[in-house]
Amino acid sequence: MTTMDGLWTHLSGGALFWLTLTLVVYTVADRLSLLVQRNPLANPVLHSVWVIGTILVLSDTPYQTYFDGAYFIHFLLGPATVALALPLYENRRVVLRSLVPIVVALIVGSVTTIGSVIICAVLFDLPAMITISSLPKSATSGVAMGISQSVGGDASLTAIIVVATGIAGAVMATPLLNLLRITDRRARGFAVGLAAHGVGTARAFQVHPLTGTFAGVAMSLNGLMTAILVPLAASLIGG
Amino acid sequence: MVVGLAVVLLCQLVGEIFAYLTHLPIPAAVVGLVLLFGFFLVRDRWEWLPFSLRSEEIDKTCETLVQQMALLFVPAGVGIVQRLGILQANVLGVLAIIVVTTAISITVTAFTFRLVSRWFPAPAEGQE
Repeated sequence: MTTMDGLWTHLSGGALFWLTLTLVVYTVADRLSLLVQRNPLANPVLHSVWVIGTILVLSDTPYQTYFDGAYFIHFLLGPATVALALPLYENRRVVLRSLVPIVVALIVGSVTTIGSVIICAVLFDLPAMITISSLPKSATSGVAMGISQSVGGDASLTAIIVVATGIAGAVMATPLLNLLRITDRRARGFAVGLAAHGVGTARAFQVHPLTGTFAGVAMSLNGLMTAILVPLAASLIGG
Repeated sequence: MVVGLAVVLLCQLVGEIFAYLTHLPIPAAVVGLVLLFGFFLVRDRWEWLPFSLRSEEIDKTCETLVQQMALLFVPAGVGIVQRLGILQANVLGVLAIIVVTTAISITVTAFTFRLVSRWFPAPAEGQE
């Protein structure tokens, strides 16, 4: 028994165990999602997060210990955002032809997102810390955490709300856009990428390469737009 | 793989330096994206680049990163275990922010895109 305890202490203190756990849980979640024909409810990020979260709580492991191990994966968020240049480059002609709708939808969408967060915060009388940390919720994690810090938010809280937003967007996008009878793949992709960043973009690439490309374009442009708009919004509400 | 990762990281690094020096509110990764886009443009026009920079590996690395992007959000998402208290105390408001504002955002963006693309129809193929 003491050998087992010693082994656990040895493994749970290092990166190897948590890194392996993250990859194994995600691989299983991704396979299950494939088994149910990529049903949005089987979102692999959603199920990986609660499974790993439960393991941390049950094993009484501090999040920081887990994160130190899983940091290698987290770090790749930046390079993955840079790598979106490839689908953008391959589809540059089709993107260029839609330049006007892209610019207008970007501005309207980004302002709507931030405005609706502020309205929600007032309606539900949320603490200022949650409101400020939620403002960059549609930007991709790495970008949003940086913005949050620069306006006095809680970067960890931002990361959670950003990932939860991404999951919610990825889960609801297909049924919602079908309900709204939006059939244009460009519009569908752009909307999900703007609202649900990388998680939404990953979902969009599962549906169709063109949808994914427009999602990627929206995600990178909205990272930029959010970085410009959130400091303005924060100064408005923070006084 | 190595040359691909080196090029991608180099773009991000230059983006980081740019963002630090200019103090512009532009995320480093987005600057990196623009640089890598420029790199692809240059690569497909100039033959004189050294072979390793014309290698297919760069495309393959980017493809892998984009395809596996969802996985990369897992470590940050698990952070929820750290903030359960504050989230539970404001559960309705937080759920509204996560679900309702995201639905509004998708709806408004999709309708705006469709409306404007009807006003400004895309030029036909081959007219670029």
